[in-house]
Amino acid sequence: MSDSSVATLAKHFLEIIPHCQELGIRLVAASPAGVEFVMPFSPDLEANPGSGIIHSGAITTLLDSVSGMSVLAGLSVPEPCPTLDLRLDHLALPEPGQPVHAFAEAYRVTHSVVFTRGYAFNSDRNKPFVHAVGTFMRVTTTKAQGGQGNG
Amino acid sequence: MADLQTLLKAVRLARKDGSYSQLCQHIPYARKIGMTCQADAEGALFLLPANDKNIGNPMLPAIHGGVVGGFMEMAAAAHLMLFMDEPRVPKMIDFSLDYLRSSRIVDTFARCDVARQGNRVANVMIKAWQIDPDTPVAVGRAHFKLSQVVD
Repeated sequence: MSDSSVATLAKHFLEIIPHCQELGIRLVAASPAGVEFVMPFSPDLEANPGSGIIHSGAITTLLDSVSGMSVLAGLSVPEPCPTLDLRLDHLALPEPGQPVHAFAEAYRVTHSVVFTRGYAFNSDRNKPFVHAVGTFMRVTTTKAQGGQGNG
Repeated sequence: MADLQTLLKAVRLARKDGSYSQLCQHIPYARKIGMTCQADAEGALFLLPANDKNIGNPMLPAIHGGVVGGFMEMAAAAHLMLFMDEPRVPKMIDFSLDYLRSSRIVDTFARCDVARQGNRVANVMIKAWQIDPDTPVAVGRAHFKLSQVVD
């Protein structure tokens, strides 16, 4: 897919998912090389009341969403790919009261599995506070549709 | 942080008299997704009531995988606060989440098991299911850093 069709798809992806709307998640950038979303800070997402720290659960939703979108962006023809697993390393706390950005890329696509990696950050993408890897299953592919490798 | 003190007070009270139902009310994110907790014969049972705002796939439809993850993370942290030797504030180090099947828009339950509680770190296993506890929709494992004793 071209960069612009990936961006259109990513926008649509966020618009039709009620919980992404609920968290106010928006598209920053999208291409086959990766996708970036942003989630605004909101007091109703806090872990401890009054702390300004967004609960890890909301960050999980943001990274699950951006990783899932990066899978679609990384395929030549988008297809539904259920998440097999997700693993998040919490490297630091987010900055209190700040919006959270998340980036993910599908770094390996085989005919049956897509592997993603990503991270969440506040203002500096070189200082991520969460690192995430995910595995997604391709359920509708045939060998002719591509991918190579062991997956 | 007066609000954190209120939460810790609720934890101490819940540990004393089993009033678990108030606990999730003190966590903004738990309120946001609508989760609750109740005491039962096996310890603590967590409930995420069916809610259209938590939908992640409107076509199936299914609960957002991130919400299922956030529910399980929150359950693990609350479980630790309730059942640790002494009440301490758990901070998530990492979270590994395996999705076994899609979560329909019905009530979802979770139960936790502390695999190991050391002085500084705890390992918690989480199982989430909908209709049948023997048919989980997701299983997870989280490591938490434990702060100093609060009382």
